[in-house]
Amino acid sequence: MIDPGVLTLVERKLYALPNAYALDGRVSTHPAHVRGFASMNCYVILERGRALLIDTGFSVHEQQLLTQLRSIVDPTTPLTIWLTRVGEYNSVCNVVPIAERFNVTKLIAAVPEPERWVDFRPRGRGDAAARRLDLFAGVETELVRPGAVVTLGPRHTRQLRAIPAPLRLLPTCWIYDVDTTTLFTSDAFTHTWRGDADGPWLIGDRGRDPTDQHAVWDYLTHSRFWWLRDAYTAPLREELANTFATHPVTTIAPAFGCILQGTRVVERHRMMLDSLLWSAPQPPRAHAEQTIAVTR
Amino acid sequence: MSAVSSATQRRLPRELASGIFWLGGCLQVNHADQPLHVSHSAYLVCGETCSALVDAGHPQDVDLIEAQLGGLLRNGAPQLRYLFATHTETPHTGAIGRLLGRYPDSIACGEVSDLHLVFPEFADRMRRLRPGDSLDLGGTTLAVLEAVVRDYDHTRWAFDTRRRVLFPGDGFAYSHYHDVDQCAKVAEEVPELDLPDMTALFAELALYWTRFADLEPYVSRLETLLFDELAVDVVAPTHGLPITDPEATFSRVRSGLVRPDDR
Repeated sequence: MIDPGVLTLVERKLYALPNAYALDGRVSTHPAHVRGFASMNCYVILERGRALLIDTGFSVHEQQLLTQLRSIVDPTTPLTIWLTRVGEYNSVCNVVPIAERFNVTKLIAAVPEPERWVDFRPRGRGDAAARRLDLFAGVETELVRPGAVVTLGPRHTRQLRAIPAPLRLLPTCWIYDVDTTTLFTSDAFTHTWRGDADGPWLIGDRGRDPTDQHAVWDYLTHSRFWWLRDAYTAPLREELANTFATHPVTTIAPAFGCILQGTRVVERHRMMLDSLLWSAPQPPRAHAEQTIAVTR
Repeated sequence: MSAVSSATQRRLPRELASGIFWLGGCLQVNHADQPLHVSHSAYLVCGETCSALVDAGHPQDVDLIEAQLGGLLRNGAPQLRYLFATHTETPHTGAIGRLLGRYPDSIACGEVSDLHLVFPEFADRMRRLRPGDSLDLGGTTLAVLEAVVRDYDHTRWAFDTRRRVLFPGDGFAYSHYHDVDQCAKVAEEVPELDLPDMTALFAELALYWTRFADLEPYVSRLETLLFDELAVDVVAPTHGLPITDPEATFSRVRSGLVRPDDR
């Protein structure tokens, strides 16, 4: 039975595993002044006895995540983990606990040897390097850069395309699932959150979309996209337009924040982002906050 | 391939200024079929009463950092009280959970966003610091600064006021060559390193936003901070080789950040 915390995005094909965390001024994902809750999202793609997990969330969600994962993936099923941002904890915290309990056969990332990035949680004394060698012995790794196609299933029937991320902070790619027309946008389109820890974590064509354009701009420029305040955004808009022109999208699946499902809601948020980027350029500004002088 | 070169292991920890030690390792990256190394450094800043570790290394170096730090503390470095994070990307705070566990009197501080979700068992030992805050180490102060070159918005830099060492996190980031013995050396010991090119390459690969920004205001701000406000003697970055002669070396960093073909 599927855990009630799991969101079915496409029956038997694609599931979201959202877990809530408080926006309390202590998180890097949102502006310090924002209050409410966001979901940290991992995604499971299923294809004929194979499974692929995109990202692994924060440590604090370990137990919920394992329960969610167990409810849709048998521990013997070959499982690939695709880490979209090895430089950020919310991508990598639960790789080790998952690898200890599931049949992880492959790690995918934009760096070689991704297993070197994932074992940092205090787990008693001992040699972390030796433990890592033991846990990931026999696990294949795949270095994936934009342009690559990852296949899933015994006949490689499911195609996941790694595409350049037009809007991002750190090295990452977006992933396009051809079968379900889902675009996994990593740290972009992460601009929706809720007042309640229970969500809901999906915004669809039929439900109310509370997203406000001014709030999105505030979110972007007071979080990881602070640099948009001064950015030359024409290339970003062009790449964003090309991405959506060449990939029909019915679901936007961000690493955190509400999932956007339905052609109308997808188009609304694409246009909102484009419009904000169009109006973005500002005079140069080098300081994040006030200038602090330390006396000589 | 060992990601931590034997040269790095042999040479670090290295004392950069009296009571300031360079720790950490290198990570190999490949660019255009060239194997390059990127430092993932941490620095132990010793005062008269306690010490602070600035950044905490890459996750692959958890054992290495723990061993290097343990050696320094056994050899007389004052007790470790502060684990200062410039920001909480994995290559900057890899060993912080292990060290919080090993040194129960220490706290994580600086830009500590998300760490309560990563290491919830230590959530009550994290303190966010703002520009203008400072840590008293006894006989010296670690002053908290706003970051100039950064990725996360609220990244913090730190400055040791007695030895005039700047810890700029992702600032002054550039790769180096392992196979010509550049690991664990300071910038001035490898004059052959094409510092402008390596600086530009790091920005291109790791600081995506710099493709869309005019970097001149950032570089001007850096210049003012280094030479007018702080009179920095040593620059101790997380991803570049330390700079021991900022007056001589800064112009090479500048030309890497502000390229002639910039928009």
